[in-house]
Amino acid sequence: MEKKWFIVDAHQHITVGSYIYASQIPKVSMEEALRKEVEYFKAWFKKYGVAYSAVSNISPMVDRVWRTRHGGNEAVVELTKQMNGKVIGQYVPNVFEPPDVVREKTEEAIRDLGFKGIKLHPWVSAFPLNHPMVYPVFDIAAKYRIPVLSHSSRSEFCTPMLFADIAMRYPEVPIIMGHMGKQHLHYDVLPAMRLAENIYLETSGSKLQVLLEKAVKEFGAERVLFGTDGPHELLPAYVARIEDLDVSEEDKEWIMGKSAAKIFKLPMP
Amino acid sequence: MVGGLILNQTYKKDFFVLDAHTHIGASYLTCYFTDKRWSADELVKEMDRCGVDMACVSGGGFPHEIKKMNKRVSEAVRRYPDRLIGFVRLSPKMSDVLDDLDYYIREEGFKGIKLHPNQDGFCLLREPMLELIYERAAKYRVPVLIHSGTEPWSVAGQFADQAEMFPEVIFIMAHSGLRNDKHVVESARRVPNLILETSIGGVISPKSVGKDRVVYGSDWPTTSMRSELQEVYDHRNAGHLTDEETRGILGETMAGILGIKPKKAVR
Repeated sequence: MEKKWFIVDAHQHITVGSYIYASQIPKVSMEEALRKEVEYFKAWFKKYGVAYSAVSNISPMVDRVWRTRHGGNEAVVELTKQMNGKVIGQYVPNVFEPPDVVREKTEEAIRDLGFKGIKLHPWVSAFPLNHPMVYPVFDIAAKYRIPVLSHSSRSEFCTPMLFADIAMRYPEVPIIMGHMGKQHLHYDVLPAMRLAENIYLETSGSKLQVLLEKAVKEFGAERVLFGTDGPHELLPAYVARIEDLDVSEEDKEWIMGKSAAKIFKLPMP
Repeated sequence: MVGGLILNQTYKKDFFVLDAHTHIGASYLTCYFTDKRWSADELVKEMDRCGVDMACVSGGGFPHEIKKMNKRVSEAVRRYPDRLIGFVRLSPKMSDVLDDLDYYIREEGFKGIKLHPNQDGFCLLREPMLELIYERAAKYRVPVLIHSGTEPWSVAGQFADQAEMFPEVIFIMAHSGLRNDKHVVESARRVPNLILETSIGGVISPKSVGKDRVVYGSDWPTTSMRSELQEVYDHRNAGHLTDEETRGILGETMAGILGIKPKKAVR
């Protein structure tokens, strides 16, 4: 309870521009929305003492036709600049653009804009995770050896089986299963991990303790990354959930931060 | 260490905490992963660790274990009468379901009914036996706690429809839709006798559904009881909930539904 954890939050978002539910789109200009996000991130990091986080913007996932060259990913570049190394950016590609354009923009994001990972949201964006339209993204991830975090759920676009399929096609790319199947596909998670050693789990959105314990026992804590899908004020509850797992203290340290630090090449304590 | 977090442990002594949803034996979500079965002693020990005063408890595990688990709950409630409140798990597919209902409510002093449409293979609004169960729930004035968030068996609109059909019965939506159902708030607004339970699905703000409509539950041993409880405190600490709303969610609303007086446990 009193332990100070080294925490890396592998799954965070900002909402600058569009959002999934129109009623929740901030009714302010993009500049003002970004300013508020930066302010909130700074306060949140100070309050909770989290070491690092990986962040993407919701807008490029939601918009089917981008309004700028990178569809809102630019806001993440600005956020990372202002967060003094605490935040790393995850690039959200628009896989509906022509393959050459997807490849070019994704590479530009990694090489020139400083993104350290890819974020995909097949459910919200409406594409199957293992569809050939996504191959250009994974080609670049493989070239630069950066991880791909994707939403998972029982949506037909991102079941754990599709993770296994794309992970086997790109064994050099760490593929992080955000939400680890969420509240229904519990029984697909471990079989998918058995098929591909490059599948990792991210803990937000799932609360089934025994599943996480089984995953750690079979595959090791290095394949489990702590995440909030925030940042939000429920961090203490999310940490408590990991603290209460029936796994070793060392395993908890890996889940809380070391696993993500290793994948994202961040300094460890 | 780089960074670090010390949990803001704010289990206020004056808050009465009643967990509206726990199990002994196993739960729907643990039983397919492990043979472990949890005892009443383990449940009460966990309640003590987390600062939970009382808990509604039903038997859980595989569907064929229902009758055995109901008996275990009877024993548990007898062992911990000041801490545990029995809910009888019923399957409308069983021929003697009404006999079991009568027995556990009248003879064993259970104070609620637990239904699991997904696991026991029946659908809300499509199972005639439910009407007879609900008629008895109204007669005995006991709430009905039902798993939610799994279509086609038990989704929010079905809860609201049946709550409309049986206005004298309190229906408790376990899991508040499992974060999977986007009609939870709208359904709860339709009817006054539909209560949202927080386990897994999270805390839906009373500001959106009204006072005394949200109750804390953990679904232990599925989840970390402490984490589920901490979510309520986190919302309070963030200013999302007033102290009055927090007290209601943590236990007072459920105590009112059960007709019991909130009483802090002596630990």
